[in-house]
Amino acid sequence: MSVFVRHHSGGVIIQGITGREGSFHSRQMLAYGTNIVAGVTPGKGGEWAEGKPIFDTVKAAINATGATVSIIFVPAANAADAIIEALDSNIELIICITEGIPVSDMMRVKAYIGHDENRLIGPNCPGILVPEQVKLGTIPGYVARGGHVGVLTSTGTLTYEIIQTLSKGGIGQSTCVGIGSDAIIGMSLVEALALFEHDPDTEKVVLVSENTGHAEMEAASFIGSTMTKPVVAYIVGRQNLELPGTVPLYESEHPSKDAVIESLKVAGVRVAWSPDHIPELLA
Amino acid sequence: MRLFEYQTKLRFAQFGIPISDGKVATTPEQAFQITQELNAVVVLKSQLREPVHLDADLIKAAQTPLEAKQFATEVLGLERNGTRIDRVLVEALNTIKLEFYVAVSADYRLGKPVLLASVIGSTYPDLTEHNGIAWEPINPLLGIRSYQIVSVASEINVPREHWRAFEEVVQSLYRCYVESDAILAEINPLILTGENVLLASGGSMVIDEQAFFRQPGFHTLSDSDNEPVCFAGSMQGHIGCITNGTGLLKAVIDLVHLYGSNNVLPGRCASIPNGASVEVLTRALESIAQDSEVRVLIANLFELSTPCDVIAGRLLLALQVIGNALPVFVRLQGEKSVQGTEILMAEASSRIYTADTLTDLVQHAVRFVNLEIE
Repeated sequence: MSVFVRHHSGGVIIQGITGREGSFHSRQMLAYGTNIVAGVTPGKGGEWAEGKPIFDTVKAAINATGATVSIIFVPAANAADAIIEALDSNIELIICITEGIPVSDMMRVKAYIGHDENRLIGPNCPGILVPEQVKLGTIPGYVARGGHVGVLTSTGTLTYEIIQTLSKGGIGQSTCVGIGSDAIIGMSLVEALALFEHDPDTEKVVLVSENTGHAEMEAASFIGSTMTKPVVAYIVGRQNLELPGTVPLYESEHPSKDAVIESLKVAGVRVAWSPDHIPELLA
Repeated sequence: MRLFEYQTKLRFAQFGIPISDGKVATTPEQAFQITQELNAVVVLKSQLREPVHLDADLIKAAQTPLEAKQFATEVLGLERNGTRIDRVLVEALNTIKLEFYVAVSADYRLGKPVLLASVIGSTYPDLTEHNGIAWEPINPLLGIRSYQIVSVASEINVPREHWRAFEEVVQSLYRCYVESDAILAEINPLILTGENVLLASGGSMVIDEQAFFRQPGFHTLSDSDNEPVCFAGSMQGHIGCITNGTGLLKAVIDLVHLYGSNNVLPGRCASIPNGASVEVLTRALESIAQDSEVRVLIANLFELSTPCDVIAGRLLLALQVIGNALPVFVRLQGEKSVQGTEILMAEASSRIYTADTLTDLVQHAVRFVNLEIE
């Protein structure tokens, strides 16, 4: 069982199960075989959604079900609170799908989580997919197939495109993980790479990232110094696109894409120039 | 989103940060009156969202109300960077003994806000370097500690008799930053006047757009689920791109650059949400069609919840609205992608092309443009 979801056996709860995103993706996950045991929506305890009991709090849900994973679909205005509630409940793994959480909220979450940041994946991420086994998030099951290549991304929809390209190229995946494209997230690229390095099911890793900052440089450094498994990387974002909400401000020297690619190459990483180029580099 | 200086100053005042005496004028007559009321030499600052303190044409001192009126007449209505100057901030000019730069900014690498400060000498501080910038990370659960402000004040040589006032300004700035959901709040410059008063003579704030929903006055600007996000309006190029997802958009743009060499360039692009409505698609397409250089459209949509035949129908309607003006290279992925693609290809009134892979899609579009521009 993939090192990313060794905690899965306890069952999954969905925070925000009754919302539009929560209900849709819960159905998709159930269809894939994910062991969803309950939902959490404050005020709707005692009701049912997608055939599962709803609880008012995460603690109540865990007490009743022994769940070990929570997936959060709570809208941005309350998502940080939902993460903190999950942290306080001591649940082992939290995956936050929600996009658009205010920066200051995530900074507070980050300060609160301290060194336990591996307990949180996301926010603004597609989650985890272990092909043919378990789906924890929004990655469509039909794009993936089982295999031995780990897929690690810090992007959203592009993740699905990459996985599909690999599958069509006959390359199966061990685990697909999207850690999220926000600047302030829980598990980092380095931490995820470390997990892949220790995953007996993974032989090689595909790393896909939007060149957002230092995370890629740190990943390159980690790969060069510590990883033994081959890594193929695809970095998007050559151009300086201004995204709303992330004004380039004071920051300890944002590395250029060329610098990132150079560091990756020095670390022994093969760098693809398009999604369709990745299968070739894995051969 | 960056606030105007006058808005920033209003906020600063609300949080107890001393500011220059002044008011906003929208007409030359108002500039005249305000100058009269202030009964002082004034400085007039054209209001743009980008800081204008370095642009000599847009900021000027005036000795008399008449001079103020004349300058206001010159600048009001001018266009800069695509926006019209419709306001001028008229402020009493202060004598300056010392000038500092003080800011609270989100540092995405650290995942924390940071306090930044520097003396302003003959050159403007370069914020991308640590040299000469006093710098303290802030724990968002604890706020700025007094000792941190002492450390900064000492490093930038704030005179000790003004340390108490400096601390108050910094704490107020931080409160303003937090309660405004800012990602940057800067006092630029913080001056020690001839009368030994510390005040914010200039300033700017950038508000986190993801927090608009809870910031009074910004609710209407809040991104609902269905707002298209358009990028890079300045990219005048041949190929407009639409995807659902910024990573995917960047990938498509990269590929256009790769296959276009330097002949064919990406133009205006948009990332729309999954399951976008006809309205959203139309808005995105209209925005792209406004880029006069754009010859073709690439649409690479990876749908999660909405079947592709439905998306295809919406896309056709949206294309109709823009008069089927542009040939479209489209690739639909997701549930019923085959049916969706068939619907698009069957539409006779539009020039619609498709491809199996992203690479092929972009290469075809580039080839099309190359033939056209020959």
